[in-house]
Amino acid sequence: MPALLSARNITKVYEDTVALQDVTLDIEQGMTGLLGANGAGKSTLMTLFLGIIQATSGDFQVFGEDGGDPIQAHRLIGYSPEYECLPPNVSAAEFTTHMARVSGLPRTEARSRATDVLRHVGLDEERYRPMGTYSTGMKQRAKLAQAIVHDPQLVLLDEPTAGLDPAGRQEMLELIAQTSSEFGISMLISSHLMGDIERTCERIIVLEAGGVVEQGDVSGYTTDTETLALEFDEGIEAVAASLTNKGIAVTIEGRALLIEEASQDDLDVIRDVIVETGALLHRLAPRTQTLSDIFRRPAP
Amino acid sequence: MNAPVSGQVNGLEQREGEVFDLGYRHYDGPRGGRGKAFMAVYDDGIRSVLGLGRGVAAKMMCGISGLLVLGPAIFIISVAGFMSSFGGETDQIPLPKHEDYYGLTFIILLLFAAIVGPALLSPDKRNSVLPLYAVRPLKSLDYAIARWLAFFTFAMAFTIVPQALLYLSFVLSDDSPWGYIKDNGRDLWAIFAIGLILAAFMTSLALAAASLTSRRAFASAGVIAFVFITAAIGGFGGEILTSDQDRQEHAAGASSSTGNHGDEEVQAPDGDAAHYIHLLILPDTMLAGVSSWTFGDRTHFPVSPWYNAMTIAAVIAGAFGTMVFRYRKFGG
Repeated sequence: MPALLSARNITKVYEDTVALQDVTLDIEQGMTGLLGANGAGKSTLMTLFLGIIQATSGDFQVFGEDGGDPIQAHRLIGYSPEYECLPPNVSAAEFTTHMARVSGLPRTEARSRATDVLRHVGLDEERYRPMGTYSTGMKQRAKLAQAIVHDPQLVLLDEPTAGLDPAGRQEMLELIAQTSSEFGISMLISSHLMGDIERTCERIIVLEAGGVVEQGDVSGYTTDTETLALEFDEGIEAVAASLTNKGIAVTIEGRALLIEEASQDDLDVIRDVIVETGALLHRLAPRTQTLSDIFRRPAP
Repeated sequence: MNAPVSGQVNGLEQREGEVFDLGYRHYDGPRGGRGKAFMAVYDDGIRSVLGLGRGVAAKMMCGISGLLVLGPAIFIISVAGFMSSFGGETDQIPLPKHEDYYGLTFIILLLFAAIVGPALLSPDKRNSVLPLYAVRPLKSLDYAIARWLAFFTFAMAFTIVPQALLYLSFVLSDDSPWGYIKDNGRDLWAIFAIGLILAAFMTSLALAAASLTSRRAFASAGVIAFVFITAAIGGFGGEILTSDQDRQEHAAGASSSTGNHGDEEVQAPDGDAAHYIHLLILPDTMLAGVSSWTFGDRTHFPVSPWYNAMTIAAVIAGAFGTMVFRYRKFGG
């Protein structure tokens, strides 16, 4: 199956700033995360794919077609920008219906789909209120609603959790993941928060200063490692001292004790030391690599 | 997806309490292209002017403007009706005619265009809604022209409906309605022509101003300022040129023994510079000038009506062109 979006050697230069430098990537079906710090080029890449801006050089394809005339592709694409884009004096019902109609849906279908989609995103009760009165979380949901109201195949969400507290972020990510998995809508989500991408996406593209530094399956970056991690509620220092005395090298990282390549004999020693010192063990498991580790790796 | 609430009660299937959980569903129906998207933006423009789905203030603005532009027509019709019901001759009272009507309502039409017109473009820019249009099957110009047409529809209604009502009342109050239509058939064409020109003029000015700023208030002020500043230039420029010519003619008269200006009012001849600069007084050019073109010689304007028509056409083209240039594409 061809990639939904593909970029080949895309460069975008704004006067004296290089926003994207020789970017080559494919966006496949499913959930893809676009990770990068502010200014890494995430929004530029999205707006290039959408045909809102033009690349300085390079080629890109949308649904396997050259991205020159995006009108056809736009019927099957949804987009929610990073910034606020909702008219404050218009109700969500009015606006979502309008956006469905601009996407080409007939009037009655647009109205009923707007109602259904607003219910889906949890804005059932508030849909007749002017959107200027919404909280940040409700605005993010209304933005998602207008992006999916025409039942697109692919949705590009630029920082969909921006401005939300941890609980709000979690809810929003669950809603996005559920929408994607239950209804088969592929999503490209940008975020500067690794946790967001790690929790929801199957694939990841890491952008840094306008270039792709990593891309692949998220599971490939979060496999178990050879490091054993022991988390303690208390008594970590005593265990560390005792293990060092017995010749086992340890590192303390917060509440966790890390032991590289522990053998079966080492595990027996560790068990005995924990019993002897009476330390309160919270968790013992092979350490799972996180996406954060990608950023901790020393530059080649 | 549906979830019956109570299933079977006493062995009978109960369907009344069935709740349909209509969350997200796939859509397999027709998907229109640019034409449908264009019409959707046009319809939304109409709803925006009417204030539908918006606050009370937006609804009131359109309603009040509509009443104000219809007001004089209703007044004239009422007076004429009142007079004829008492057997009076309506010809004896100087009731405004078609060619006078826009003189009464021009300022209301201008204010309506200045206040409501920019609402069709400026807020979308100010609230960053344009990128959402940019990712739909629509080109930037489709969006701008659909908005222009939406406002133009109201401008046409506001210019033509009162005049049409007036015409109807003249027809009905005449002793021979059919005779009135035969004698004044040209008025219908003139009402439509000047309505079209005036509506295009108002719409283009309002939307050009709105295309230049994301703030509605600035756009409103811009429309009014444009009309008044050009009028001021036209007025003062005309005064200066006329008095220059006046001085020159007096000087010429003093040096010539046959000078006979005497008590005659000094009148610049048709086609001189003062009259051309007077064209900048757009309300005059629009109303008296274009009226003289559409309503024939019943109104008087010193230069050929073609100059008026060309001035108004240049303003409409310039304003429309400004909007088109500003909306040639959505992004950078």
